[in-house]
Amino acid sequence: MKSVFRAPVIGASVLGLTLALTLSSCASEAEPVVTPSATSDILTKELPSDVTAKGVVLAAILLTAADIELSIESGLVTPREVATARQALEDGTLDLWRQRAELDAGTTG
Amino acid sequence: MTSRSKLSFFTLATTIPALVLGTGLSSAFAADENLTEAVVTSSLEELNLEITDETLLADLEQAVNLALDEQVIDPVIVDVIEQELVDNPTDPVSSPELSDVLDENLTEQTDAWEESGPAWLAAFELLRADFELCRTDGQSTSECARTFGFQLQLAHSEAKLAEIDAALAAVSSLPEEEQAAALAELEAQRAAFQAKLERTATRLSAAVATGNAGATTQIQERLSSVIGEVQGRSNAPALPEQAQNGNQPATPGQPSQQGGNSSGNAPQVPAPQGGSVTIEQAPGNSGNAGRPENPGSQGQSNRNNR
Repeated sequence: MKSVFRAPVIGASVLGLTLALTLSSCASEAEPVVTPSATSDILTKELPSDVTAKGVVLAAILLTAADIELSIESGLVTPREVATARQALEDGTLDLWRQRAELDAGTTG
Repeated sequence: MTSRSKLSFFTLATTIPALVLGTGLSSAFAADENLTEAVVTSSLEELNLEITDETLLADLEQAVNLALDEQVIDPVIVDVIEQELVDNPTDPVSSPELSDVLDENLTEQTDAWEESGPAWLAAFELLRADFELCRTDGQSTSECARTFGFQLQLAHSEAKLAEIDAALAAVSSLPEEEQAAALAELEAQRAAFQAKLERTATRLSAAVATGNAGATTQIQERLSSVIGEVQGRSNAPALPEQAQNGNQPATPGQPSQQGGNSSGNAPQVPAPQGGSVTIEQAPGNSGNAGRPENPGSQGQSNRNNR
């Protein structure tokens, strides 16, 4: 009798474990989660002399529509701005850089 | 013909061409503005970005306009957008074809950056002190970037030359049956690099002629020297038996047997030991076969010949 009741319990546990594993693998393939600290960091941190938020957004545009090495040679963006844009695309923070650029544009007017 | 009709005829004869010319010119300006706007809008859509600040948008469009002038925007993308502006002037940025080419370019350029990014970042560090001075003088990041564009390219090129030398030196350590293919691939990379430098030299000449900041005859001389060195590497290095027969390798950065010396006051990238010797070129190109294992020496497709 005990074994009859145990089988459904074991089956449910296996199902639950399988579901958890599936969900976790799905989560790892989902969009990267932007943490509150990353948000605050991008919006407020002091930027090095060779990076502006506008430059990062422009670098992203040039990665999309241009030759990025020619863009650097032409002085349109700095290498660090390209690297930052590339990282932002990867970790899903490009829109934060857009926000920062708009904030900075409003400040310098 | 009466005097009044002569006057009328003269008026028509001068007015119509003026109208046509004016319309044509204004159309050209409108087309350029539309093209710039379409490049920016379509790229932002591709990136899922929406910009609401008019000042920022205007700045980005100004930069993209400059990119169009300098032929930095992908010509395939330009062609597609120009066609869309004709076929669908009310909404030129919504075509699936445009989305595809933008997506393809983004993938290609991010892949290219994975390869070339470290070298560009390293080259910039050689100029950082001067760049910081430029910023301290009150110029913006973009202004300083424009000022140092050619110097950055020069620093990057000198590092690239050192990479080529290291890769050439490493060929002799490959199995004999892989050396010919490795040499062929390196020669293709060298030739593409030389072509790119020659295009830069043309742009630099134009910039010097117009008195652009950062475009100096000193940089021209150094770039010319680098081009000479790169051209000199076109004699592929020897297979081991030929190296032993008397073509002595030259140490990069020191007076070359074939090219000029690099000169100038900007920081020089220290070059690894090793150099080139003369050998017959290997026929064909077998892709990745026999690529020398050398840190920093990576294959680079010729993306700039578009």
